[in-house]
Amino acid sequence: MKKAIIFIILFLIALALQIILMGGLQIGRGRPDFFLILLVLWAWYNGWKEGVISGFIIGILEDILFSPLWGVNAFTLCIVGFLVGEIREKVYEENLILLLIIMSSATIINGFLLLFLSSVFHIFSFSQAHLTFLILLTSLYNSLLILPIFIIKEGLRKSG
Amino acid sequence: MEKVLRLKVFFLISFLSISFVLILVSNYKRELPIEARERSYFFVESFQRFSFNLKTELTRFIGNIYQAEKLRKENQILKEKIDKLTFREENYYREILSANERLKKMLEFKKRQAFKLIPVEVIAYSPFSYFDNIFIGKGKEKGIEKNMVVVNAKGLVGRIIEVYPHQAKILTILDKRSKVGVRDENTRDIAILQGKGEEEKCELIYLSNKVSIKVGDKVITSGLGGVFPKGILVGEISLVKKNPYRLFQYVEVRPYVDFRKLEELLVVKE
Repeated sequence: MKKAIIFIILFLIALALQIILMGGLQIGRGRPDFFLILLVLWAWYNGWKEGVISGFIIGILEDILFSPLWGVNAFTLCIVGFLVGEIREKVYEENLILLLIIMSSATIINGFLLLFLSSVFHIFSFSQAHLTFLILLTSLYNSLLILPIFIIKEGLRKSG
Repeated sequence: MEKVLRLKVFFLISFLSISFVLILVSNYKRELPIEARERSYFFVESFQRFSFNLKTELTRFIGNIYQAEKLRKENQILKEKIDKLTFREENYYREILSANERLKKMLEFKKRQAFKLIPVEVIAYSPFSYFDNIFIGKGKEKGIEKNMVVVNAKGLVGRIIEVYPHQAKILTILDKRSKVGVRDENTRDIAILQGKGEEEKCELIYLSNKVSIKVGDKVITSGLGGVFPKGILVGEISLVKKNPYRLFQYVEVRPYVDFRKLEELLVVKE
């Protein structure tokens, strides 16, 4: 129950950051994906099962709020949540470099899965070349953003 | 070990299957997600309004330091007036003049009404990278309806695709999903303008190789299709490529509207 409440609060924070901070950016520009950052961190610290469930929940909510089709983000984020959780089970050491690699890979996998679904269902605004550029840019932003989050978390862990 | 792996795969596939069914259902009925969102958009709308208000307040605060409030308001009113007049001059009057000449020759005359324009402000862009839309700060309550055309002083911006009580979402002509019936102002040939999903670029599709359009020609809306009124400036031809082995030529159009600097827009209410 406590975990669910924490998840809801984090989701609302991610939503607020995404809309308030990123909603003002111009058309065609890359921006970080706070939902994906939340999912990667959640799956990383809670394993594959919660990775899939939280991926599905975040994806469905993202679809309902923003996507032209339901299920698209749910589909891709389930896979991302599963993969991140799976990798975590096989890694015993927690370090920043690994988390950075996981974050950027997760963004790229999510982006290209979305790109694949977009070509099947014709739902995206941009050309494939521009989308690829946006995926890479989002990956960079997400990785940069995970740095302070990791440092704050480590600081809290050490002080606590 | 194998049992655990099977469980994992089963678990993942179950969630993927639900997602895929949702994709198929909403793809079969594309209006479904939009209708649902229009009915329950208060949450995102309130966030966006908060974001917009925050931005406006900050701008106002900084603006007050440098210039008087009165001047700011006056400037806003004048800007709207200039936008309306420039749009009418650039689009309506120019087109009606050329139409008038043609119709006179044909001894037919059809009186056209000027566009009624609603000034709106861009309040947000899409919060995500991959689905890009523009949000404006007026909605159903101010008479905005789905498929209304959006312009600015320079020309066509796009059309309304989703309407909420206090906001509306615009699909720009740059979007890959956008299609607009257009005409070459010089040759009067008609074509369909489609977004390329890239900045400052659209293309004309289904334009026969026999048509002799050239770089620099102005492109205006044709009025065919019923959504976009006739005669709105769209852009100019920036590239023409003819291939003798192809039925249609490749034509690129550079829109007059600078999509990186959209602030005040006008919704055409005929």
